[in-house]
Amino acid sequence: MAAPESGDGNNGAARMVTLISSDNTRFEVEAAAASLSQTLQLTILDGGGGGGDGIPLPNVDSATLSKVLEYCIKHAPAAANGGAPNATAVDRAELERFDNEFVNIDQSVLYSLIMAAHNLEIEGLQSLVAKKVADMIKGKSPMEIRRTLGFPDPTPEEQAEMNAHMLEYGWAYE
Amino acid sequence: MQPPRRTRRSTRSYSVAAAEPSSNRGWLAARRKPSKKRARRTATTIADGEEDDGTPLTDEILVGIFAGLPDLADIVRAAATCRRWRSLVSGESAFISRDSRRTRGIFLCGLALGFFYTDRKGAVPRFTPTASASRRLGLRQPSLNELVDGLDDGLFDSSRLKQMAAMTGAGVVVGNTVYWHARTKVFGLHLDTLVAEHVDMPENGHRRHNPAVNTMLGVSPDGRLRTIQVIEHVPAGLSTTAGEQSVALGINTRSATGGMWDAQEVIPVVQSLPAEAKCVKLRWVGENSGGRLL
Repeated sequence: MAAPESGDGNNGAARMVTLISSDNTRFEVEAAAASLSQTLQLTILDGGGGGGDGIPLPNVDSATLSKVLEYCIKHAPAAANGGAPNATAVDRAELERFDNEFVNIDQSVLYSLIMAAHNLEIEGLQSLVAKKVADMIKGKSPMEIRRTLGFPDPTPEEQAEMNAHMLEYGWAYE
Repeated sequence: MQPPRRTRRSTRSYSVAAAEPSSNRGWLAARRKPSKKRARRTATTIADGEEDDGTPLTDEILVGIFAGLPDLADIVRAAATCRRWRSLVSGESAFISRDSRRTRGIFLCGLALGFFYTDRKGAVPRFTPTASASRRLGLRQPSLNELVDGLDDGLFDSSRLKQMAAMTGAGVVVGNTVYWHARTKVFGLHLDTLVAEHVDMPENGHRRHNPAVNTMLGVSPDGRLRTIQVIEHVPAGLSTTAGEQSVALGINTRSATGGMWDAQEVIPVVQSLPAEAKCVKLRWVGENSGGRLL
């Protein structure tokens, strides 16, 4: 059965779908928001996720899923407008503010979010979290990067390799 | 539970980018085999004693993050952090640096092979490969790292290194020798023996303000080193129209014996340039068909 296209949710009552996290929590969300995930979009276009069925997401726990859906709900209206040609500067500024706030999170949450964004193929969220990690790397020395991202302490051997690399590429450390 | 391994659009897109023969990325890129390992490896498979960065991020995600780093120096420092990141950066460099915004850095081609240096003015330069080039080329020559330890005469101070590194732009391979152009000289390096040589650029009389932009190295159809330079004033006998500049290409081919240059061949360019043009950029149109002005 072919379901109406998810972007049409603006006309009449919005279609809802149910997502089930790995720890069996059910989330009911507008199909338009869930469809930001390319993985889910296919299922939803096939008419899945409605009624009592729900779409199981065995790789995403409830804490991460609620965070992901927070992003999707916020970004769904702009995405439904096809890149939002009629979005005002205020709308865009608000989304930007939301995004900045959204990734201001603990590292473990950030990592779960990155994995979820990739599993669910949510393009905007993928680039948002990738940019956040890139910002954490930017301008730092290798040691600072390791500390920032919570790597284990380097073994003496690794330390020696790091030093050799720094010698070889001295220009990158000026 | 770990995410199942899946084929994603983004995986394909960067594999394709990495596998593309990239003509403008230097000849060494073609020697590298595309990494098959990366596609298979996920965060779960590297816990077996090999060094791990302690993060759950997959190779694909990390490569995407590296590609988003704004500065080449950031990528280099990231590569220094651990073995896994280093192998990702070197294995996927074609994808990571596909974005032209980073090519304005010190290195034009992303990969430095090594450095030419002379211990006294006018002497034939010697060549020292970097450690990574030594590994890639399977060289037995001492690499830069080892030399630095034994040298304390200021040879490798940063100001001089930069200038030398800037020469590692697009090289031209003639036979088993690679040539780089650096201002008034052409530096050559025999890849089998690592013996360096240098040739003075042929005299062109009127060179433009920036010889590096107006000069290209190339290969003649019969396999000899060739230079193509923009000549500002067309020699007498070829008329110029008022208000426009005429340019010509001067082509010198190195004599077959390897010594100096054969007599210059001048090709006037039919299309004239606006009078205010100061700089002309030469680009190749096709191998062996000679230089064209675009």
